[in-house]
Amino acid sequence: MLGDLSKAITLVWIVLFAGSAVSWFLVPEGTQVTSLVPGIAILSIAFFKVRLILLYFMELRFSPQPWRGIFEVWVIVAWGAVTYLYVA
Amino acid sequence: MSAPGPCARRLPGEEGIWVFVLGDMLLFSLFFGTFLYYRNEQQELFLQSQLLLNKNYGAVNTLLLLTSSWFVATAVHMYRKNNTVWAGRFLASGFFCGLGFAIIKVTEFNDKFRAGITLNTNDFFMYYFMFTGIHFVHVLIGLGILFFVRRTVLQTPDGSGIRTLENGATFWHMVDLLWIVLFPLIYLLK
Amino acid sequence: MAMNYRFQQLCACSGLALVFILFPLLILMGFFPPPSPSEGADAIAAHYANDSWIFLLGGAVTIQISALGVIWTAAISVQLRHIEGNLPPVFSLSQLVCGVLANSVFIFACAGWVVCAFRPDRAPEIIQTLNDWAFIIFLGTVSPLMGQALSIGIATFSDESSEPVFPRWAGFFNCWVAAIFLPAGLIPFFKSGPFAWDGLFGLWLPVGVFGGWIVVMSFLVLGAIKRQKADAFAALAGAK
Repeated sequence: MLGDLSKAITLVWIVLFAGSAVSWFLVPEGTQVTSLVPGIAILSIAFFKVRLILLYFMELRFSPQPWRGIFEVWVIVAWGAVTYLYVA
Repeated sequence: MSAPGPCARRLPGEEGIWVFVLGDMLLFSLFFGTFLYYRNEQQELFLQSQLLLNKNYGAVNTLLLLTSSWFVATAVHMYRKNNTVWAGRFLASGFFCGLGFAIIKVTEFNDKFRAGITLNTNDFFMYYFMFTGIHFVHVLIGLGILFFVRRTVLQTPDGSGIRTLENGATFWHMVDLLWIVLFPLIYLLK
Repeated sequence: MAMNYRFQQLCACSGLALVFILFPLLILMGFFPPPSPSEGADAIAAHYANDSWIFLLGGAVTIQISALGVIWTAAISVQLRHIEGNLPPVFSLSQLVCGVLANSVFIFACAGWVVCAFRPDRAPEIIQTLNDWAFIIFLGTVSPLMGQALSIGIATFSDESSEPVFPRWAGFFNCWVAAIFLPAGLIPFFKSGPFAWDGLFGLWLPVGVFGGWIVVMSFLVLGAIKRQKADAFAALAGAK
């Protein structure tokens, strides 16, 4: 199980890199905020990346509860709070 | 050192480091929330000030930390397979990526200071310096930890240093993780 | 021998006493949260002029609870000595010294509150100066506290005995506590916002964590004393 992990983390790195690239190109020009959509997308990508790091680099995917649960909950609550505050 | 069974679930390192990580992540969550809350009150100021930030530095730093995390995670796997030499090399690589982050960060702060921008310039820059500064302190501590952990790994080719290695790796991944949110929040979000 | 353990327990409890006296006093004086650093001299002077007896009482008592703080520090150092065993007493000494330094804040900073209220008809600028002095030092002197927490944390990590004095998580807890104290050191740079002495990261979080840290450490020390006392008496009984 953990043996597959070492191949998985390279794949995860690629996904993280790609996520960063996508976020980069989603940033609108200038200071006019015409739509909240890019911002929400950027934040969502960020927390998706965080979850990948937690599960694969930090190996929470193969860790016992309640630890995995605690951090999964944090990801959801933090993403929700941050998105809510951004949109409000 | 026994390998875990196919369905064994094991927390890397020890519980205590995860207590610390959770606590630190909660602290930074407060940072994220505080930033957004005050941003809502002065959105125009924040957007204008954000234009003065160097996104390129931030982007390179993101890639450096992501790569350093990959190096560290791979080092842990190498060590578990009793490949101490490569574990040491990957840890060193991760360290140097982190060092790169630190150098760019110092350069970035220096650029700001020379332009007359300090943490009292306005609220946006107060948060910018405070939050990326506190994160920077974490990076520096993490570099120290990586250095110490690498030494432990090289001194214990029998695999007995696994707990220390996993503790250090967990801390470093947290440092990476926090930047993954901090960078878009401060530099990219419009 | 029993007297030694009893006094250790007293010292450990003095930390709890400190928390349960300090926090109500702060609230009584209207210092939780304190008046904002961006307030004008006249407003600050007015704060002390109204019911100045509260500040005299609060300040006077706060000065004296420094003693509670230092004997609490001693109780912790005794435990760190147990961890050190025959090794050089670096952790217990550094914790002790940092604790003394940290508790000196109660004397040198909080005296400002007493002096402000002692003659309320002073010029407002003088009162504001002393008020600034008191709060900047009281809330901004973080390095001794961090030194205390880190000494405890690192000592806990170095504990390799079969029955550690403090549980491993306490080591990480102390490191986290030290991290929480850090931002308060930047209070001098802010007159408003979350990093000022009335802000989230300058006041609420560090002071809240300070109280929680004292409570947690007090109970950990009391637990350790209980075990050591039982071991000592058992050894005595066994030797007879």
